[in-house]
Amino acid sequence: MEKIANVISSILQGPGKLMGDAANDIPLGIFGAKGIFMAYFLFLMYMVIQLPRDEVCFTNEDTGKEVNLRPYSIVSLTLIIIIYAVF
Amino acid sequence: MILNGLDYSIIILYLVATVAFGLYVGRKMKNDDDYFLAGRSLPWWAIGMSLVVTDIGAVDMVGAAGAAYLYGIVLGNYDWLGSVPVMIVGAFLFIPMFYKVKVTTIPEWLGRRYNIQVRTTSALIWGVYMSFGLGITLYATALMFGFLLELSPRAVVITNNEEVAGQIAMSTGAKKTHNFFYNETVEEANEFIDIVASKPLGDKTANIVLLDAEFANAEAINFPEGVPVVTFNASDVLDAEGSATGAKEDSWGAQVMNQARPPAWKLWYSVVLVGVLIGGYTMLGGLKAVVYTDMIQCIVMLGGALFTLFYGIYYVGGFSKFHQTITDMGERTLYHFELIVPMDSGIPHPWTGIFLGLGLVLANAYWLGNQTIVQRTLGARSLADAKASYVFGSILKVLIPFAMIVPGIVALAHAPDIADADLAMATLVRDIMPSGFKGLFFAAFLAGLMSSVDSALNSNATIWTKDIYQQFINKNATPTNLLVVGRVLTAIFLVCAMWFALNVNKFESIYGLTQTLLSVFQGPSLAIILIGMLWKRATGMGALAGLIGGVSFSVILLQTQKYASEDNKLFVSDEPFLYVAWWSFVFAIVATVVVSLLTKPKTDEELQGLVYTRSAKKGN
Repeated sequence: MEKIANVISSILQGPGKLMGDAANDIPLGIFGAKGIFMAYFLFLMYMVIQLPRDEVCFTNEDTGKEVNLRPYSIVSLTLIIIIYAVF
Repeated sequence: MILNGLDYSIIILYLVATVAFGLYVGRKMKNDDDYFLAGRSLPWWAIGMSLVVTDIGAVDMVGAAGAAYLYGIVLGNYDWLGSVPVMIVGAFLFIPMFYKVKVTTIPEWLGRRYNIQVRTTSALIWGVYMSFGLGITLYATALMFGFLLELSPRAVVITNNEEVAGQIAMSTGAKKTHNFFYNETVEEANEFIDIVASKPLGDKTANIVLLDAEFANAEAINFPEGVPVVTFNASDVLDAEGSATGAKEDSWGAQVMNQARPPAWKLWYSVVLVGVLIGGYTMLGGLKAVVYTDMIQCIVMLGGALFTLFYGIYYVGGFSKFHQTITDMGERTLYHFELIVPMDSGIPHPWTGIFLGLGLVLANAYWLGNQTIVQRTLGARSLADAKASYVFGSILKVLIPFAMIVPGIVALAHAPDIADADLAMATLVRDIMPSGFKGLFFAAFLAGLMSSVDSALNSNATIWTKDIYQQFINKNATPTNLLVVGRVLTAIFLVCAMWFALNVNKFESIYGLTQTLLSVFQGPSLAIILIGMLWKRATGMGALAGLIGGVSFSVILLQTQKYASEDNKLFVSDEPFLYVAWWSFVFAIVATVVVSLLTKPKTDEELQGLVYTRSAKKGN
């Protein structure tokens, strides 16, 4: 079993190492990594802002009032952005 | 955790109230839609709370705080990155896709999008996984139940050698099968024996005492009557260099624990108690009972955990003192307040794995492709409620790491030398909580375990009834007939899970398999759902190739990692499940695309409402 595993491991390590080396060549410290996380959250925020009104608004069946989910989604993502900025 | 009468009263009150409420709300079941989808009547706020609490098991409550004790706030990624963003995306893009076509299960949606083969393969994978997973969840929660109430067997080790104590804890399986107490001095040993003698439940004393032959002044110890005392030498567990002796120590540990006096409170009491309480309302009330009891459980769990957090920080001297205490620990807590940690940190949650494996694959697979989760939104009373439930859940999810993870770090500030990190939360609660609040915390713990077991039980019955029974055994089953089958299957799965939980030690390989199974098929499952929703050219053959190929690729990766020689491991991490999820996801996408391009797609009419296109969005 170990022999087969070693053969497969050697084969898969080739492309893996290639990608790992390529990734390591990118000068990306912890701040860079944090930037990737932030960019991801901001992209989602942009997506939520761009959603058509009929996708995010509805009438509450209990109260009959119109509810807009967009502000709540933005609050949720903003909290996450703040948390990742702090920690 | 030593509880008193007030604590037990709170726990009993919580249990009675929850079960009674579950039975009440679930009393009017007429057909399968009522049972599996709560008659599509659930409001957003109930689903939102249910989503959050279903995601947190009792084991997570203990394990996450334990991992935070060791590694810090990085564990928060599993909620902040692993839940919040995907719940927002899911609310507006993916949940509507499932909801609009009125399916009951994810495999059913796959069947409509692709074909019956993909539906059946997916249903079998989920059904088998959940069947075994239920037993393991029940076993793990029953064990944890015993530990927190200190009802499990107690092994008392009396030695001056901390290294020896640590090795004995390992070799006797401490924290897996019994409570472990290390006593370094005669005073400590006698004090401990006095404490256990005053316990209100379970054994009045320890179940076994392990005495180091070199322990000085052993004759001054008040050994409890009728309890086996085994004298050992350090060489039983350590080699000449003072290191663990490996296999020898394990067999020694097993032999020693066989001599322990049987505990008054046996594991099966916990299994049956938990099983009957949860099974009763789940079997009778279906999804409606599950979701509404989850709602209570969410309030109790969040309330209990947040109180533990705030009181814990107050107890260690306020937030500034807490922060200072942790940062003053130097190298050990270098990353304890860092969410993003580098690959060379030695912490098993580096940012690359977190972002690729968790953020892009496992999180999406869980929130968009897990039957247990998605089923409650399919039971929403309207599409708007389904969407709102995910948005509401995402806001609640922001709070979860503060309630579940940060207390683990507070425990570190309070007691930096806990031998087993999994006891961090229990230690914090035991040491600082006033009377009554320990009961509240334990009720919160019970809430976590009940929500996981009832949800898994209900979803498992749903998949086997709708995707297997109705497809292959009785195609003309009436709604009433499906309701009866659902209830019978719930009862059967519960009994099997209880039996499995009591015999889990005979199925070590299955136990291990189910632990890794989730990471094996989540990536490929997500791949075929995403491609199916976003690319109309994807075909049934392509999805089948992606699903089976992706799962096979995951197994190959895991087996290669397991068996390759030490200098030729595929992944640096000992627990590479995040990377396995990512690469199996990539493999499944490639396989699905390639085979789809070689096979004939469905027509636009057949895909109406199943593929996300601008026109589909407007038209539906």
